[in-house]
Amino acid sequence: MSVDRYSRQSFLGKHAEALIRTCVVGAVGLGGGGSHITQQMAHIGFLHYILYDSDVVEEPNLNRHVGATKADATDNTPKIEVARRMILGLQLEASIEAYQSRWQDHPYSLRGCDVIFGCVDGLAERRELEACARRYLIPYIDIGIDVHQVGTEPPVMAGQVILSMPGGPCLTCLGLLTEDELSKETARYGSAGPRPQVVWANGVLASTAVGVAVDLLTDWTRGLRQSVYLCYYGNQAILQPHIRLEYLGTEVCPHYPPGQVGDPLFKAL
Amino acid sequence: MRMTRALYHSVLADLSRPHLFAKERVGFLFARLGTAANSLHLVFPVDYAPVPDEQYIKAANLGIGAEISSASIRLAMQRTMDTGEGALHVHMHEHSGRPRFSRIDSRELPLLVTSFQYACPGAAHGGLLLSKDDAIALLWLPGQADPIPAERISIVGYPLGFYGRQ
Amino acid sequence: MNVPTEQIEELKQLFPGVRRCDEGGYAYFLLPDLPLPTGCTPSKTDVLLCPMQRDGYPSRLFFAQVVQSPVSRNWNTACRILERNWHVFSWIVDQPGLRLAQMVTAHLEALQ
Repeated sequence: MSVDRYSRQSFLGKHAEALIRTCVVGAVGLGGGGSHITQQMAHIGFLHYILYDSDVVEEPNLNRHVGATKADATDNTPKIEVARRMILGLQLEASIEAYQSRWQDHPYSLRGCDVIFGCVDGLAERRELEACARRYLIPYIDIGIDVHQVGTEPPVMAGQVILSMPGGPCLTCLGLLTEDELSKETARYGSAGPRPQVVWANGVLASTAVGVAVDLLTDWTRGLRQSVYLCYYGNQAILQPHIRLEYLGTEVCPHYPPGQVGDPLFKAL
Repeated sequence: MRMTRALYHSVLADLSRPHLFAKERVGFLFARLGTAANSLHLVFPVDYAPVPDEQYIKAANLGIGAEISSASIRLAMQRTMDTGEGALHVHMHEHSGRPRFSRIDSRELPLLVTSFQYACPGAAHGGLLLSKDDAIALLWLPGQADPIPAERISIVGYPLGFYGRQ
Repeated sequence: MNVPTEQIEELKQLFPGVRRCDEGGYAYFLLPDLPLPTGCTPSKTDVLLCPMQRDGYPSRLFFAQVVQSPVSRNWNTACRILERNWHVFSWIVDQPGLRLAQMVTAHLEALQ
């Protein structure tokens, strides 16, 4: 590998390249958000990937699926193959474990990750992914976007980037997962529905998530020292910390206490 | 091995405290076990118990950094029996860079682990050795007579840290 | 979640091998190899009771596999809890003050 390739990111620190090369990245969901993330990770120099997506490329994906082509839509190329092609096009020596399935059907590989990106639909999916990440002490970075419209008002686009750090506030602590919203989702039989998505908004969130991951790994800013919960207000093109962060205490997350890690230990009553 | 940065710092802080006569401090980490793909075993220290000051013994051999009483070991054994967590003997060498287990460490650690395995055979036990900025660990997985070095020790927090063999 | 001792004892008596594990703020009780109502296939399976409000249900019973029962149920949800995949059907047990053992029975009645 040419040293010159990464010369423009040398500001990340003298150990950054080695850290990036040895880091194992997990990405669940390789569509609108996940395709951006895997592309960027490959550009930056990440070499080890654990990828999950059960879906194939179809025509409606082409408005936002980075790396997917018209031929992929015609051929219904699995999204994992688009990701694999993209990564290997930049990193010949990349090791890629890719599953065309739900991650829940091949969970063991995910446990070996150093960081997990969640680009999934639905709150229940997020809860399950976060539970696994917490149990195996893996920082989990969640991205999501939604567009809703009320009456004749303009559509409102909003999204989030959240870093769920083991020991710190979880998605429930941060208010993303609530009993009310999970109930509504369950009432729809768990379907999040086909959500509106556009490439530029996905790009904002994915890029921000990647930036958080690189900072976490390299500590280049020496400023990332607490929870990340960024809200994206698409209509105004603003990304800013969620106000909830101001009200977080320093208490340990009550939903994932420190001892609840590793393979589940069922206690006899 | 993966542990939170908060736990790592609390261990470092405790081990850095001077003792009245011991050259080094010692503690025990208690760890849970996890399994991943390709037979990868994951060890998660979740709690730390320092050896109380009064349970240190003045070592006759000046080459020994710290000698601890059997009471402290029995306490650790009891904890593993009660909780199912593995016990990791942990101490620190006050230098930067990759630490190495001393000859005494290499002799004593297996004996200690044998006791822990007796108390809790289903857990992973071993030893963790810290320096100011690095760490190594030797782990005895359940049912294994011989230890394996931890491939990587991840400190999970802000920032992420990776120590040990790369 | 604190459960009265007498409910725990009752659970242990009725469902040998019952164990508890918590995750994500929820308490779960594992009932291994629970015999299912007559006419069900399989005849027994691991079952997980969550006796807390979860996703709009006052309590929920998760099954290690989809059960074929005399009464057809809507097995619309697969979920992952405590590092296992579980199946659950739409059924609301909405009687306040049920003991844990009664919750299990009430959920199983839906399969008869």
